[in-house]
Amino acid sequence: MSEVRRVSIWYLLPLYVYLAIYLVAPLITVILGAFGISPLIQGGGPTLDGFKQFFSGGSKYLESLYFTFWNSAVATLIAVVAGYMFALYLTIRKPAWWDKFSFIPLIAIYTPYLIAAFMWWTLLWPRGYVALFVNGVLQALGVIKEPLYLVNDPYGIGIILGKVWYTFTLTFLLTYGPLQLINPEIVEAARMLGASTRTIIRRIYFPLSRYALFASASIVFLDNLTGVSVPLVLGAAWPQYLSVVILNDVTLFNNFLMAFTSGFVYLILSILAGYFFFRFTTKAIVHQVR
Amino acid sequence: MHSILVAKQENKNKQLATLIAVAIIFLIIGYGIALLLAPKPTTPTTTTTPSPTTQTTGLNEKTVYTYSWSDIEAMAKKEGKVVFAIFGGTHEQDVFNHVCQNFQAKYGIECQVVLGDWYSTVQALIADKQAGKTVGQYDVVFLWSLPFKMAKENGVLWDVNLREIIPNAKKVPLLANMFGTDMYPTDGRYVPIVWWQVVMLYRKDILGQWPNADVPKSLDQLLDWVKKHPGKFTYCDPNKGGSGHTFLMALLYSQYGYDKFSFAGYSEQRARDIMYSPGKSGMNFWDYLNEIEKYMYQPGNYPQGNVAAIQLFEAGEVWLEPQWIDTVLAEINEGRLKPEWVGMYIPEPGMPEPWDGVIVAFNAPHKAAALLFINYLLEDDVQAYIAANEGTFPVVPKAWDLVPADVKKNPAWPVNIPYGDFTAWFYYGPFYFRHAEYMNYMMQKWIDEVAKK
Repeated sequence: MSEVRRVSIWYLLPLYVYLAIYLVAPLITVILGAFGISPLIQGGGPTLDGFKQFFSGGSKYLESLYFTFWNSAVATLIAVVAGYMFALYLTIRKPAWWDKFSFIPLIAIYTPYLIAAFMWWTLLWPRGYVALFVNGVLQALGVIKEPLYLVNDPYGIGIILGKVWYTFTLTFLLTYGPLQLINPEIVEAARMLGASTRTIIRRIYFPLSRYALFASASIVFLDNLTGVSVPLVLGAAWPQYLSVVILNDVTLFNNFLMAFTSGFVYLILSILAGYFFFRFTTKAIVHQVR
Repeated sequence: MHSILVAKQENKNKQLATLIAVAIIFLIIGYGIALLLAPKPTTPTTTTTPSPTTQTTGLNEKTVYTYSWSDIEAMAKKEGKVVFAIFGGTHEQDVFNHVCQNFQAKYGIECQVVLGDWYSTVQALIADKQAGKTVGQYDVVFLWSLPFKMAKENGVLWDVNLREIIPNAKKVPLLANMFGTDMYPTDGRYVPIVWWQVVMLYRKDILGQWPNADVPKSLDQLLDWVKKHPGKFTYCDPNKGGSGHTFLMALLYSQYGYDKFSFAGYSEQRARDIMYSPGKSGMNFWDYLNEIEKYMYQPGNYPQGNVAAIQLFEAGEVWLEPQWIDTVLAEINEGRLKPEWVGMYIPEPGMPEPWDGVIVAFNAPHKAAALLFINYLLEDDVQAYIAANEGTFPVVPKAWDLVPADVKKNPAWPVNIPYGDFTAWFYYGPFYFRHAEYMNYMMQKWIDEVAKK
């Protein structure tokens, strides 16, 4: 081993120790726990029972995972589309009021998730203003007869609304910056050649900002997938997010084996989703820069 | 060019090999640590090895039985401090802070209330135990059945029969002292300090005054009542609020009989056999609940907690629901619930009651002060204060007489307690406990059999 390499190992040792203690050790705890090896599991020992239970037919864990995925995906889709459209609007129209009110969307990302969740609950519960308004309008129009459940509902409408509230801002912030970096001369040239706004969005803005859009979508999706506060407060008795199932397994049922197993599966899926998105977007951004 | 590519490939292979080697090393180390820390076949609860004595007194699991109460009081004063870990909200903190201040004024012993959540507190004790920390941060810990079970199984209780040592503990009914933790045996290592009670809350202004109110006086009449008043009944998700699972236990007992569960051994097979067999209604428990659900408020949509349930009542959405007395009392006192709406009663054959209580931590730094403080918590006037301010029943008999008349007049108290007299109820029972393990099974199955359907 060369002198340089030896010295660099010593310099990097604190980083290795940090990674081992703060990153690797907790992950190993979860992985071992999923296989029944943990002091928290009564009568524990190497076992695959957790996985058998998790993946058995009709298992509540599988249903919960499925719900977590599709609900997070819908929330992500809405947040990304709305956030990106807003960023595009600001980029193209450059409204004069934006400078004065640009702090308003930021309130959402400074608000703790739990507070946001309770705030939405008070608006969406059967006597909440939003619920009364939405149901009142829909009933007046004859669209529905019975009021809709907008919170603690089996479709996770409350969860989606609660999540979109803050991930909208996140998406907007992540896409607004890259949109500002697009050379305005290209847009100007397109306009001079007679391109409509729709064409400019389709041919210039979207292609030049799509990787930022994918990257923000991946961040928002992972955030939605793993959060606990919003589904805990706004979710139904069933279906529940996997994070809520884990919380109940630990604090109510003292079932650490299933909590670790769910955690392990969650972890793998998050890593896979994260890896897929980030690898794709990183490569694409590098390609775009070249 | 070729050699550069080969070198790059080799470098990549080396990195990959290093990564795999590091991962394997970590897995082996983790596995070894897990094996070392894994619980041994013999549970630590049975240990009777005396713990090291506290810094100021010679009190331990063996010597404590040899001292007189006045000796313990003197030792407590010498220790000079007690730390009381509670769970709940800021209201509970205020109530126990007041109790603590009075204790301090009476004995000159500094008293500190620490508000936390029961789960973290027990986990902290377990961590202390595993780390071999013999002098901890908490003396007295307020718990309910589940954390008590966790604490007992992990050996973090001070292994002393508190009932034998603490004079006032003998005033607590023996049955509640030994099994008030949802029938999980306490062996005297736990002393109840509050008697929570779930009752039925109904709209008195609409359904009428007791005893002529149009309410299901027996749980057997509930299904007929909900059919007659569709959309006017709810109960909270049993996994999110105690009023939900306590009510379901009452329903379970009414369908299959309390005898089937009282102090019975538990097996999943037996729980399944009971709950999937026809009950008094002719349906199994889950079909019965699903039948009730059809006529409930927003069928399939369960309020996510006690507060969410009472908010529906306050909004006039529902007319009947199971609810804790303390929640109703707090809502009336806060001005959110109109007292003229509130009717409270206990349906036949009864509603189970958890008796939450305290333990002394295995590594309590002030054990004598802890004993003295628990004794103080069970004084008649202190119990009356807790009952009046928390909305609980006292756990010692004479305290109810000390609860101010204006508090007792509050409609949050049930109108039909057994014998119509608290003292008689206290002496003659019945005490109706939840069975923790059957309740646990029921709560988990409720998701599959009710919430998911």
